[in-house]
Amino acid sequence: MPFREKSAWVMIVALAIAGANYVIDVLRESLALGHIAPPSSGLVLAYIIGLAILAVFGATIIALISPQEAEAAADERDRLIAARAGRVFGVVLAVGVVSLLGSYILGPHRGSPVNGDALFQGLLVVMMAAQIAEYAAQIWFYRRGT
Amino acid sequence: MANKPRITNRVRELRERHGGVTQAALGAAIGVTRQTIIAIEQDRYSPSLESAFRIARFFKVGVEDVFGWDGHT
Repeated sequence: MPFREKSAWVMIVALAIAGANYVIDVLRESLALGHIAPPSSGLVLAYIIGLAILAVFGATIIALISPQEAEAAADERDRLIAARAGRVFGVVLAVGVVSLLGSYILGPHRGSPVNGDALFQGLLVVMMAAQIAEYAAQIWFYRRGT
Repeated sequence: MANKPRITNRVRELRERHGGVTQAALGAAIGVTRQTIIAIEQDRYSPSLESAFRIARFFKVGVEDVFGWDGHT
């Protein structure tokens, strides 16, 4: 398995764990409040720090397992796959952002549940989803060909 | 929709014919990773024109002796 595919797996797992923790915390708080929880710098910081710790830990493990591959520079195939996966990131992000902004414009008075708090939480989740989609696309391209 | 014409190659055969050059050695010689050579041999990746020329020159043959294309014009 190429080193960069292993890295993509590490990032997917790290994003899934940190993201799930964040979403569960927000859902729990939202249920307690009876509406979407407002942005919390503490939760966002916990997500970022958790993600960084998991990513660094995972990257260190795979680098220790394959030190030579870890030092190798990206070649033309790696760069092509990164570019194609980057497009997937862009599409998922754009669709999510446009959908949320559209819902926000409608506003609560027109029946949309998206207020400022929901917009913030939604955008954060869309960012997580876009990153997961990007790494999943990398794995797909490494396995199925480019 | 028609399938995309396949780029075929004889990289594995040429490696074996040239004294069993390893995938890692070929990759190092042309500037790609061993995994990329594996992907080329398994038809999962069509290399850039530059890499195709590098591979052909490594084996001292023409590009069309290494790569083929089963499509039409």
